[in-house]
Amino acid sequence: MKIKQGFVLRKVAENYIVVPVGEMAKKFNGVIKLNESSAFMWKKLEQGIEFNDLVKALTEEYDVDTTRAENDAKAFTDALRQANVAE
Amino acid sequence: MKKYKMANVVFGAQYNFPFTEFFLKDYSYDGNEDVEFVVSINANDIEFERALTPEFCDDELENVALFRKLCDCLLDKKDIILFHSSAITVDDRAYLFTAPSGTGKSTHTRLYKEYFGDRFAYVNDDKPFIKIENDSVVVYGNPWTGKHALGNNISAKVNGICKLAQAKKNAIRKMQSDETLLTLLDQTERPRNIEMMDKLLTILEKMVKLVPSFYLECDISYDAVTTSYNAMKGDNCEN
Repeated sequence: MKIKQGFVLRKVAENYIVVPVGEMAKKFNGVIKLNESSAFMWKKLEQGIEFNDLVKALTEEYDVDTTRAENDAKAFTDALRQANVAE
Repeated sequence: MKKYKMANVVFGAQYNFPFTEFFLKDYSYDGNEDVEFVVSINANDIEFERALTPEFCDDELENVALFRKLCDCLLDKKDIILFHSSAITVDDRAYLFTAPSGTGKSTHTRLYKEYFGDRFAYVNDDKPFIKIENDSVVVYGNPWTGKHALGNNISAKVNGICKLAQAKKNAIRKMQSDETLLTLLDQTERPRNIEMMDKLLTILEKMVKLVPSFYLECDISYDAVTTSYNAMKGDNCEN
């Protein structure tokens, strides 16, 4: 899965936000607010990453078991797909 | 080319319609400083605007095109942003009231004018310029003052930012930094590319850090005015 072109992640005053720029700004009319762990996942997805590798990265970065990581990753990637932000 | 000065920036403007010259007259500049950039409007710019607002006639389109290009240059070259808000001063300290169009910013600030009388002034009731200067947020007037044409060629340090919502009772609270950031982002022009977006976010981040922000639920009354003013004025104001 990979985040589509045209989104920019920035840390601004302790908050992570994603804003669309250029052509994407015409299609995506909003701002995405991320917490620390979803910002971590976002950065991985910007490069393009397989689901299982994303889960593995989460378990390595955070003190969580695989099941928890899988659930969180699935929830996040589902939301991104639904919002047409990643494919 | 005619010279103008807005937000302390001297620039040149090339345009075609007498209406534009009349519109900009309060900001014309006849000093010796060189222009930092020139904004010129051609037929392509007019057609670009016509596609967005086909109901406007050519001189209105030129006006909008000029504003768009000017805002672009101000952000790109001078780190100055546009912020959709009603910007006013009380005792020469500025307060920015922000909300989606139609919520009641102008109504609230009109009550400020009635309540504070001579202590009050409009900077810009619709789209003032904002610049960070030496750890202060400064708001500047410009000719694009919105529906009611309320504004002056003045500037002031911003003491507080207030987001408004309509309510039956008046209540105010501080906003958290993430709320403030999203509020500010919502009411600024979205830049077209990453470099400009980075500039904008840097400026917004400083605004969040330098100026206290509040969320006001209010009705249409002087009580609403005192509720917002008392929260925002800070300890260094007497009354």
